Amino acid sequence: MLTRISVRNWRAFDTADLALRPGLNVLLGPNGAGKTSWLEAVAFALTGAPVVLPNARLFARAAGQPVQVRVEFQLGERTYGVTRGLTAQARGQVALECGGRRLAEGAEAVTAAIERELGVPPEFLLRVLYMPEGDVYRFLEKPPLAAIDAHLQRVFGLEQIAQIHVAATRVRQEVKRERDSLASLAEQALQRAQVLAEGRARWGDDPFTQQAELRKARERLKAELEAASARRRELQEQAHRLQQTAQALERLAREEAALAGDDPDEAVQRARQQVVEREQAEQQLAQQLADLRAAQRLLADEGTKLRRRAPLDLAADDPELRAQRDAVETVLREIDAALARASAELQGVRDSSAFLTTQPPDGATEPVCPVCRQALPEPLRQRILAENAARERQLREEIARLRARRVAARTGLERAAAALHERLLAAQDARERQTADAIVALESQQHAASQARNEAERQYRAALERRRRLGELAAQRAELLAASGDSADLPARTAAVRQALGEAQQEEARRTQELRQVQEQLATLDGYLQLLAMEGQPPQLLERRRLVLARRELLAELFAAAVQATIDRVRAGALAAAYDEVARAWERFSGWAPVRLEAGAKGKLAVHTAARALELAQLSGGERAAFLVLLHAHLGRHFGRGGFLLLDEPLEHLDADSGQRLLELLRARLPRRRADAGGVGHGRGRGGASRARRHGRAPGAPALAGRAALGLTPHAPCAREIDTPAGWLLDFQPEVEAPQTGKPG
Amino acid sequence: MEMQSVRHRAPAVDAVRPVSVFRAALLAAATEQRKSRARSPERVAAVSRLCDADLGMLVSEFEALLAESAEVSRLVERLHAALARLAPEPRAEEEADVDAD
Repeated sequence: MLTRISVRNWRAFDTADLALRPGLNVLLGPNGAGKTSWLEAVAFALTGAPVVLPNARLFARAAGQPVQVRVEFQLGERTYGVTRGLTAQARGQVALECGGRRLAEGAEAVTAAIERELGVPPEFLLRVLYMPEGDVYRFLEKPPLAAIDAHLQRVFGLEQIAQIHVAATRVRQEVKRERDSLASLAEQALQRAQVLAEGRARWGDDPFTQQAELRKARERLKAELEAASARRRELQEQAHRLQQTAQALERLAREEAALAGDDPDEAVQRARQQVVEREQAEQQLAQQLADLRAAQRLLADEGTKLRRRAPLDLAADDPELRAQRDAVETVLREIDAALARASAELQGVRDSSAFLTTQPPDGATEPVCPVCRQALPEPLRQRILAENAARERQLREEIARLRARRVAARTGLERAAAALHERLLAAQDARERQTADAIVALESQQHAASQARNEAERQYRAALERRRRLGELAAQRAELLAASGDSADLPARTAAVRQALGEAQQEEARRTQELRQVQEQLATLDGYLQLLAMEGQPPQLLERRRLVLARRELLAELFAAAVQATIDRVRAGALAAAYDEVARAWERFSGWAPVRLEAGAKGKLAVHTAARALELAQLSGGERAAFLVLLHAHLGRHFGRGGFLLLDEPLEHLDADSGQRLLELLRARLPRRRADAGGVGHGRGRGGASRARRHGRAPGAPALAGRAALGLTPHAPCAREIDTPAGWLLDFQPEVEAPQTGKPG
Repeated sequence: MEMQSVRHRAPAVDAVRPVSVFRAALLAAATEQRKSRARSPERVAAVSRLCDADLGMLVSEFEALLAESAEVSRLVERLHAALARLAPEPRAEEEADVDAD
């Protein structure tokens, strides 16, 4: 039973202290009044984990200030107090106390101690005993059946029974293994007795003498088998050698046939002679080629000189050109003489004309002839001047004609010389081309002669190799024949050796079979003698032990099966019992009867009535909320010793009548002196808190005795206590002035 | 009337008492073994020898194991001892009788 909650710097409160009454406690107030803060303080104190907020740091009302929560609760006659904080200093004060004595210190140790005292693991407390606001739909989607099932195992001791089942299974397996082993021993004993009986019938009274005789026979057969094997190996080797000789002779014959032809010595001689002839021909061609190349060089020199020579110089070597040159030179000399005369005459005519021109008559003196120094009359001078001019024209024409003749004569000579030069150069080029062509042809002949010589040398080497290989083959044949005798007898000898080999193999197989039979007899006899020497348990005693182990195995099987059935039935029975109680509560709440609850698909609960079978999701929102509250109430009362529930907005989805019925059901299910249910709700609107307040004024509703104690700081939200017949309401009213002092609980 | 039938079908308090459940399950398993056909003569003999005293001892052993430590090796040891009491090894004189036979 929760008795007191104290917080400092906790969400909506700076400092606040709330004393709770036995029975149903309802907290009313508008949004932000701090109703959920109280419930979450309880959850945080008991589990150390946040429920609504994602992070415990968000619990602090003023950042950086220490946060502390303390919750007091009663179990039987003992009073516990748990304190938790968030800052480093406050974390050091995390502790669980009982009767002034510290039971645990530190967050994890306190959580474990609370789990031990309440019998409720933290996750079960958070998922079952604390119903956060809006948990209805989350519950329907992910029902806490897994947590319930795990908790059932702990509450009903199923963990211990599971260990017993493990032990029973192991014992059953061990007994079965022992019985199987004993069955094998009994089987062996039975076989042993059978073998001994057969041995006595087979070996008689003196098996050791027979054992010695069999051992002697085994040694003899081993020696005979060894000799037969040696003979067989020897014949195998002979046959192998003969076969190899025959194969070698056949291979030699094939190769000799391939090399067959004329006499190898004569062939070598002919090839050698051919090589010599080809070499001589090649040398002759080389000499001719050298001569031609020398002639080609001379022609090249002559051609060079001819090209460098002036055409007119060819007259020295060419008589025709020389005669033509001499004739032209004679003509030229004549022309030069005529030119000289004409030039001299022309000069005289010009001098005369110049004199007569420069000595005009002045009237005083008459001009005189420069030759005869006679005075020249003017008419005469004029006539002479005219004659001089005519003569001068004649002389110039004569000179021009002579010069043209002179040029024509020289040009003709030069043309003749050039033509001769051209003819000589053409002839020289023709000779050079002929020589080059002859060299090319000779080089081709030389290449062919070289190839022919190479071919002759190759044939010569082949002839040498053939002669050498024939010699080797003859030597090998001689060697093989010398080693194996006459080759004509070889097939007959091979057939004889093969026949002997077959006989030797048969002899070896016979000896092997005989030896195997003797060894088998000896092994059987040895086994019989060993079995005879061994001591074994009597089959009758083994049979008794088999009966004992069969009985143990049966008892172990029954025990293990019953333990497994116990686990299944206890788990199913506990769940069924829980569901049955919730079904009865649901019958009273809903008016449906009869109601049966069963686990449906995916662990969800289904409601079965006489007329319908509904998944929880098919119920209305209010019905689902009421169902969830009832389920929480039952599980919280049944599993765990804390005996309290924390319900946030439990009547949110219910109408007035349903809310009233649910409150009455909750109150009726609370034990008279213990177990709390804390519910919070809004005091306005259509929430359940207003209805709870209204119910409190309803005449005839059950009353809760006593008064609550509430102490608030001046800065905390104020609260107004309301005693009602239906329960104790703590209505948070921020507009109401806060009391200055708290009242003792 | 329907309500009464539903209450009658509801699991009783025995459903959460492991020893009671174990006793019922053991009786059911023994009955099933007696009805089934055994495969081997030893098994037939073991089933025929099964009596209520054996089942009572197994129930007592289960109850004792519930209070025992959860260590499996210890539980195995106790179970072997219980089985040895219920089906003891052949005594020396029996072996002598067997030898005499």
